[in-house]
Amino acid sequence: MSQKREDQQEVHLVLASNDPGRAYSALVLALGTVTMGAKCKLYCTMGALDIVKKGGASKITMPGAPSLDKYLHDAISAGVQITACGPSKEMLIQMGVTPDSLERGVDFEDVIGFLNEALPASKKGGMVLFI
Amino acid sequence: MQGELRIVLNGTSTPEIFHGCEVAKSVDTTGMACPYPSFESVKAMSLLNDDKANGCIEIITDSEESAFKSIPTICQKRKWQFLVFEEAKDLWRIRIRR
Repeated sequence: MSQKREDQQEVHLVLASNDPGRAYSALVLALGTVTMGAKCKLYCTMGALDIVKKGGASKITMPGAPSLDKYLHDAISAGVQITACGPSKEMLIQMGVTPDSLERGVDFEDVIGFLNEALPASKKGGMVLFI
Repeated sequence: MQGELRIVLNGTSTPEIFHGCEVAKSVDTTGMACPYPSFESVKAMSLLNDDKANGCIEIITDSEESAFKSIPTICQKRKWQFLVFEEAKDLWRIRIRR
């Protein structure tokens, strides 16, 4: 649903926590970004890997809000690119993350992959936010 | 409808284009949390088929922020025209079209 243009503004979000206050904020920002017609990428690392594990987001709730699951799936179908950081095989195993256990539409990416897109984006006026 | 409901915000220089405009899509965002009222509106805007380009979209919201700020903002950003009507206390009906 985001407009595709050469000069499209980009917002790159880093989420490193499964704390509902942070996770909801990140996904609200992601949905808001595509609503405003900008490109959005959400890079999930550390605690946030819980969110991109199959069924993980449904366990994160906030009083009065739909479950985080809805936000995650709406973000994916609206074109938000969501990636999961895999620092090392051992860490992923410890965190219970495998390629099969990732939500559909979420891909693995390391920090170089993230920066490879975030650096040029910020150079042309994009935003990189750590949540 | 214009005759029945009060326009509380005018986002068009040609309000007459809304007269008798067919509602091609209707979006009820009542009770939705931010940013869903705007998000669902944009989704409806992008799903409106070209053959219905002359129709308008109707958005219902109980959020004052959405009615007076967010939805007008996304309309202006996408160069859509809009009229915000007061449906009841804390309830607004917004008609938008290209």
